[in-house]
Amino acid sequence: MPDTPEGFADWIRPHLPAMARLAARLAPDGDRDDVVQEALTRAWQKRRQFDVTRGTPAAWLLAITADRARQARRRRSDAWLPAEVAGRVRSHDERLDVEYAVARLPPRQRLAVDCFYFVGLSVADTAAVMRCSEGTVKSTLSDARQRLRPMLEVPE
Amino acid sequence: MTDTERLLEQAGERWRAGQRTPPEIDPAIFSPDTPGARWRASFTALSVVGALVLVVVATMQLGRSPESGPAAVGGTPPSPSAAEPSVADSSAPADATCDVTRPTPAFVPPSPNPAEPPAYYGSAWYGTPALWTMLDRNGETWEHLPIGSDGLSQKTFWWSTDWVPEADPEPAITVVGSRLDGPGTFTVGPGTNASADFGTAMLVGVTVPTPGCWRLTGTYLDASLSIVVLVKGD
Repeated sequence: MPDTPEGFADWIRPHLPAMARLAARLAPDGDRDDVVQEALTRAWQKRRQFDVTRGTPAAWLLAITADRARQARRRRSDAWLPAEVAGRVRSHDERLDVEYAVARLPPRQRLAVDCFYFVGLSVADTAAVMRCSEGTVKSTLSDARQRLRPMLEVPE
Repeated sequence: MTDTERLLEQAGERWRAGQRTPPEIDPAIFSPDTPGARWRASFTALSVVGALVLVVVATMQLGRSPESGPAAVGGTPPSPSAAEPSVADSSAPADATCDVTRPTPAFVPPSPNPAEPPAYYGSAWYGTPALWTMLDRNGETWEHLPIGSDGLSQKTFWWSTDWVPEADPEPAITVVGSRLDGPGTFTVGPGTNASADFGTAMLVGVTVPTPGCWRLTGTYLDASLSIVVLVKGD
């Protein structure tokens, strides 16, 4: 683990895009860069706690980012209200339909879908964010797809 | 690949393509001169007294069960324990002496409530069926709170099997705050309701007058639940 600011920045840089995507997905609009900034500062403060035998740098950084995103959601009053998705309606835009359906998944299924399909994390990194096993991630994704199928009007 | 997987992958690709490039990392934020680091340096300089306090607190903690569960459910909140800082400790760094409540053992609410909060909150339920709340697994540390003329604003969320949101949208829940490391109290209530990915909760917005170590006691019907949180004023 680099112990200089420049070395630490270099160490984190490859993971920055995934951290930013995760923050954008889990935190309210507009808070992404704040969440990333807080996660970077937090990671620097906790750098001596990183243990490579317990997980990859990506998993560690993403878990910190998810935690900061959680804090950001808590600070934002509008993030707590279902109105964040209530304004969307079914449309001819397939993208909106998928977002609409994903927003109505149970929380853990939605989190798995957000991490795996939208943020683009691996199953292992998704498991780190969800604090569960890779097998649980896979089964949760399977359950989510099962639930989404009728909402997306995909034939059996 | 199924049609559902294809739709999800395409939606994900489109979403990622629409994301802005994150700003470049400025190594200056990792400098020892960042505010957090400055605070830690101050803490180190003051830590002779603080360390002594910690030793005393740790010694006293050995005499009590650290996993003793929720405090004072269904009754009045307990008086401050010996391990909690008194007014006399107010010069010590708050988080060195603030024995924040950790959700251990975690509470599992009865069905149909979710057995645990969504994972990305990093939290667990804490309390009893009569009144429970959600706490960070490491205890609640509130920082970067909005600052108003009366103090720092935060939302607290509470659940009870005795609460029916449709029948009681503005529940008569109260939250009493009492600062443990200095003077200060507040009382707020009633609550309102809020729905999110953790279910529907009683929401009580609190305004904490000053940073510090605070005991919050929520009371709904005959049940009370006390927690200790650290409020930072950065």
